[in-house]
Order: sequence, then C-alpha cells, then structure tokens
Amino acid sequence: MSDQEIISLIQADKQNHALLRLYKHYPGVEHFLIMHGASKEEAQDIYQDALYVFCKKVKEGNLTLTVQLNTYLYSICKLMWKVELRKKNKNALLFSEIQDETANYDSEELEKISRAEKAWESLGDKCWEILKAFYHEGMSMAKIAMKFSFSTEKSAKNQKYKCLEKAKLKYNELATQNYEQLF
Amino acid sequence: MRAELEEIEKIELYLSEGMNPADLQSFEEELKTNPVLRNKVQDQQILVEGLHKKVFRDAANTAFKKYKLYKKLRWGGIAVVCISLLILLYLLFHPNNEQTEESGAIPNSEVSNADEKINIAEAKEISNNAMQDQPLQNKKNTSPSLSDERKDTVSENAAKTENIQQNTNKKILGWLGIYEITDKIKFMGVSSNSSEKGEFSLLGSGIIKTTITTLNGAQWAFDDAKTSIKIAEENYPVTWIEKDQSFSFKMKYEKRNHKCTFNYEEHLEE
Repeated sequence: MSDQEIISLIQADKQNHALLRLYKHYPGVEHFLIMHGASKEEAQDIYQDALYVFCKKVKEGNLTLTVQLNTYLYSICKLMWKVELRKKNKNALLFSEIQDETANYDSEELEKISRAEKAWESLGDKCWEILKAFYHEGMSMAKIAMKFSFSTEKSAKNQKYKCLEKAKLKYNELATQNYEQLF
Repeated sequence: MRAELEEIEKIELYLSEGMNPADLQSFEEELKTNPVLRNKVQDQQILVEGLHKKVFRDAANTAFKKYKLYKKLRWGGIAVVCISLLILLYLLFHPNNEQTEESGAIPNSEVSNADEKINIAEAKEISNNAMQDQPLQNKKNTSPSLSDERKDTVSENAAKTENIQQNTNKKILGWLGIYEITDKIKFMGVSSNSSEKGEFSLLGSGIIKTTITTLNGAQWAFDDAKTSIKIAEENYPVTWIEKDQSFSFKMKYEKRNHKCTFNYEEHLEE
C-alpha cells in the first residue's frame, strides 16, 4: 500500500486499517531506537506517539509529506527519543550529528497531551466509558443516561462532571510531579 | 456545583464550536479579560485531546497485536509450506517410499551396478531348454550384451499385519541382479555360472524371518534377526539346477509389520 493510500485511509476515518499498515515500518524504527539506548517498551511508546502525531496532522490537514512516510516516521521518532533522553538527563548528543528538519512537532504540547492521557488511565472503567462516549463518540447526554442506566439525564451529567474533575485532579497532580522533577 | 457544571458546558460548547454567535462573542470577550477562564479552556482542550490520544493508543495497541500475529502467521505459513514441500519431495523421490508399499504397486526392477562389485567374468550363458516349455511373458529379443539379456518381471506385493500374503514373481534371463522388492528390502541374486556356485541374499532391515522353498518342495528357513541372509552353494538345491538348467524358488520373508512372498525364477539360455 502506498503512502498516499495510507493517508487516504486516515482521512476517510479508517484509522484502524491505516494503523495496521503503518506498523510495517516499525521493525526498522524499533531497531534504530534500541541501538540508541531505548528499551523495547520505550521504542513502542515512541512509535505510537509518532503515529499519533502523524495521524493528527493528516486529519487536521497540516501535513505535506516531502519525503517517504518511512523517512518521516524515522525522523519524528528520532526527535522524540532525543527529547526523551534530554528529560532523562542523558546524553542527547548521541543525535548531535543528526540535523533533521524532515519532521517536527510541538514537544511541549505533546507532553501535556500525554500527561492528560495518563490522567485518563487512572480513571475507573465506568468514568472512562462515559467520558469516551461523550467526548470521542459525540454521544448526547440523553443517550449516555440511557446507555449507562442513569435515572435522569441530570444524574448522568453530574456523574460526568465528577469523572471529569477526577481526571483534572490527576492531570494537575502529574503536572506538579513533573515540575518538581525538573528542580 | 451547578455554576461549575454550567461553566464546563459553556467551555465544551465553545471548544466544539457549537455556541450561538451572541454567546460566542460574550465568551470570547470574557476570555480576553479572565485568565482563569482561559486556563480552564486550555486545560479542557488538553484533557479532551489526551482522551483522544488514549483512544488512539488503544487502537494502536490492537493494531500492533494484529501486526505481530500476522507476522507470526506469515512465518508459520512459510514454515508449513516449506515442510510440506520437503515431505512432498521426500515422498516423490525417496526410492523406498511408503506409497509404493501401501499401494502394492510394482516397484521398478532395477539392475544395479553390482556387476562391478561381483566378479562375473566367468559367467556363462547356458542354453535353457526349459525356456521352451515355460516361455517368458516378457521375453525380449536376446542381444549379445549381458544387460540386455536380463528380462525382469517383478510383481511384488507387501501387506501389513492383516497377513495378506502377496506374491512377487520374477523371471530373469540372466544371472545377476539387485532387485528392489519392497521398502528397504533388496534381493540380490548371483546365479551360478555352472551348477556349482551361487549366492542369494535378502538384504534389508527389520527382517525377522525368511523361508526359501524350492520348486521341488525343499525348504530352507531362517528364523533369526539377521539382516542379511546368504544362500551359499551348499544350501541351494544343486540337483534341481542340474536337472533343468534353471533356477527357481520361492522366498518368504517377514518384517515386523509385513509378510511377503515372492517367487524367483531364473532361466539361463544361450
């Protein structure tokens, strides 16, 4: 499947099909990252972050591929691992010779989003399902109330609010931890 | 809590671009002057994006598992195809394959290069008067060369423990041959160049019993686990050879799971 066909799949909201095909580039990237000090799990996380950035840009119409998709994913992963090494206070000069302008991304924004992702992970299953139905699937609160067996829409809204507050609390807690680690 | 709920709903409407123009204008005015609200909007935006990222990661994890599974299946498929091919090649080209045995097909009667190993220089072709009384089915024109004089008809059948007794008939014009009789069994016959010498062997693994019966009823049996049995000149019926210038006997052998009987006939002619 060509790069353009993969992009078309993402644009057509067939992300799951695209993801399966995007993994064909993974072995090379994984090898590269492991050779540069990443563990298998870290390599996998970084590749998934790179795929997230790529898919988001495609959906927002912010991406013009000037190189092959394989090269683009390599470049993003390299940048991400460089940032990760800096965070770990390790020698990011491993990449000093790499002047890669092929890909770029907002690392600060991604870090915040990843922190929010972690905050969501701390939620219970029911909270997660309710908020996913509302924010990701665009389900109305009336439907959510029915689906999750709330007596009224209002009680469903209250539950949603509580769940969101929990996530916010966790997010702020993670942000404080991160801030403390810096100093 | 009521006021907070309403504020969140407003932020959600603003972020999902679902606000009516009048509310939108007043909300944007408030955003300019109220940094706390601005932070709340930014946090909400990040939180919702984090939720999308978690959904994405779940999908990516599923895709990764599928990818690994497909990879394994692909290698597994390749391995299965390779093994199947190897088995097929083995079955096709192995000289003593099971198919031959099970189907009871007649194996090729092959005369090997054993000529080189066994001194045959003294071999003579003796006129076989008996041939006229007992004409060979597969008799061909005899040619001066030794190899062309060999006329083999082999029908050999092997059966498994059901004790189906099957026969192999050999008619040989000539004096020497190694015959593939059945799976891993070779029958090697070296006829006498006169009525005095000769050697017959049944070579193979797993033979547990061999019985040789001459046409005149004399029996010569082995009842041991030797894998090679030779009939030396003192064992085979010399008198009979002298009598009609041909050599014939019935040989039975048993393997662990097989019983087989075949007849061996050799006629010597000029």
